[in-house]
Amino acid sequence: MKVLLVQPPVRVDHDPVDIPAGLGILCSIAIKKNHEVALLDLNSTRPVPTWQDAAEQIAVEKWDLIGIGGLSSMYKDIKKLLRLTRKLNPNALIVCGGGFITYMPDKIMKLSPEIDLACLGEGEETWSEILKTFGSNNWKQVKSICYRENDEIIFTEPRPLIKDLDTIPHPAYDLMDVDSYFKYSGSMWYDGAWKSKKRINFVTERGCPRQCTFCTHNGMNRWDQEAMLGKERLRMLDKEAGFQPVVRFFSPRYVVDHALWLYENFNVDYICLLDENLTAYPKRVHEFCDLWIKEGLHHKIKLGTSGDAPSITPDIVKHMKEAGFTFISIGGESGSDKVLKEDIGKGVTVAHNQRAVEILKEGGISPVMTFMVGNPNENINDVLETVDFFIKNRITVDPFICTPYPGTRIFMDNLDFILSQYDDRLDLLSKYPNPNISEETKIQWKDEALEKFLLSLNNATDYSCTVSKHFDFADLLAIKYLMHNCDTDRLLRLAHMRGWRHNDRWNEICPVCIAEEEISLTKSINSNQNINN
Amino acid sequence: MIKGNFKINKIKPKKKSEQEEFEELIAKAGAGSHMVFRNEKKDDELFIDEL
Repeated sequence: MKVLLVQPPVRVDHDPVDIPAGLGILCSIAIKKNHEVALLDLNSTRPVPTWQDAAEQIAVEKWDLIGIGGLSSMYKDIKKLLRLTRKLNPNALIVCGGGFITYMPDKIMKLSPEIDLACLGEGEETWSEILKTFGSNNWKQVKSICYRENDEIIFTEPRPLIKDLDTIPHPAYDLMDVDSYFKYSGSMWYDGAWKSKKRINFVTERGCPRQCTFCTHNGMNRWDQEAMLGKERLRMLDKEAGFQPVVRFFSPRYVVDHALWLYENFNVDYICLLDENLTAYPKRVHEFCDLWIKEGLHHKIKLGTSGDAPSITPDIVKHMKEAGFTFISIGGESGSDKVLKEDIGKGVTVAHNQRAVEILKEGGISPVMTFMVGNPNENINDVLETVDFFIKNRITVDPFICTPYPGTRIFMDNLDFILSQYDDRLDLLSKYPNPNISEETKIQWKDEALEKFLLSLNNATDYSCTVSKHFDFADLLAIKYLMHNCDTDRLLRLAHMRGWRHNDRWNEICPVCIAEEEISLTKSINSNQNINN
Repeated sequence: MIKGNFKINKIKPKKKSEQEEFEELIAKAGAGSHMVFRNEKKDDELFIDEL
């Protein structure tokens, strides 16, 4: 059969830096099953193609099965793509997967009637079974999907996580516009990466041992499974299929063979390992670095990756430096221990972050740290502490805005507050309950607000909605700007303007407090003089 | 843009005029503090009726 996989545009205001690896893997699986497979990548160029261009590309064939995947922040484009693909292929089976649908498949399928099947969480085995079942349409036997039956949306049995990631094929690079991505090699503005001529990004890990409240793993680890299935069903899955892990790795051999293939076929000079937390397991880091160096790849390909602060030690950094790592990105998140503990839940402190920066600098690997503003309990003092961290470490950071993406703990904990930002009726009801409004009406309003929220979702570099208890959206945009400029003066002035009480610690540098003190001193001198006169 | 493991009837992309290309670029990329050209074509229409 004819299978089309479509990569929607993502982060259109930045250069495209990531090949569609996930869809590429699904292409490989379909090709192995002898299907005619095509990949349409709407993200490989800037500007992205118009919808008319996209329609013309989709219309070249009549497709039997169309797969579309993406993140929650891509929902608004995916919705348009779904209308387009359905109009052009009225009889095709349309399957969707990825973060945007994994956490609320029934809601998303209700909002997008074009979707026939939702593939939940980890997709490879599910996709393989969907291809096998196509035609017979006996969907209830395929685990980990949602499908339509009459007017209902049916969930099938959950699927355990893949035990051996090495069984997963490489992406079908021959169906990708790899040269287009190479053009943007230097667009990853991290040490080493920005000088690369042929950079590829791929992933060697699924999941993460940390449980940050703002994060999800596209259904591919134990924390996500717990959120999707509930504790009881997860425990049953543990009994049926073994303990579902929080993190899994491709073996060092698999990763090295993949890199060798890329070097031989494309002459890549930089690989960004887009793992969530490569450094969290030191034993594996050492095994990987040993093999990488043994194969001589440290002379051919430079590397960059992500990690967490507590796992950064001098010996890990030394070994990674030898292997050719030029940067390690760490989620610093905040310069306030209170925010890190109460809001982020990462199990990391400011001291961990500071130490990691120092060890990386000493070890010759560039530290990259990302931060967020707008965390639920973050107040102006926490913001000032974060800027203090920037100033102390001489870094320039444009912080992300804490965004409650579906499936995250901050989304689940703040759902009513989120929806009230998209429907003033819900906002009013939260303050002034009205028993005359029926539950059915409230549910309808909430569903409408949910779609508005999903359509508004952007990258965390932009504002979508807030979970902050202290700052509104205007505050957040101003604070983000001032943090980027390390403008402590204006932050303190803003605090006074808004009536946010700052700690005494900042009195000595607060221009308003200094002025107030000077004025009161002057008043006092003047009154003393008057008394003396 | 579209690549397959079989022979696909590819469409030769229409040559856009310089002005059309420029308008698309501005509409998609924005223009910072400068005036953003507003494309007359509406995204919502998706050109479905023309297909």
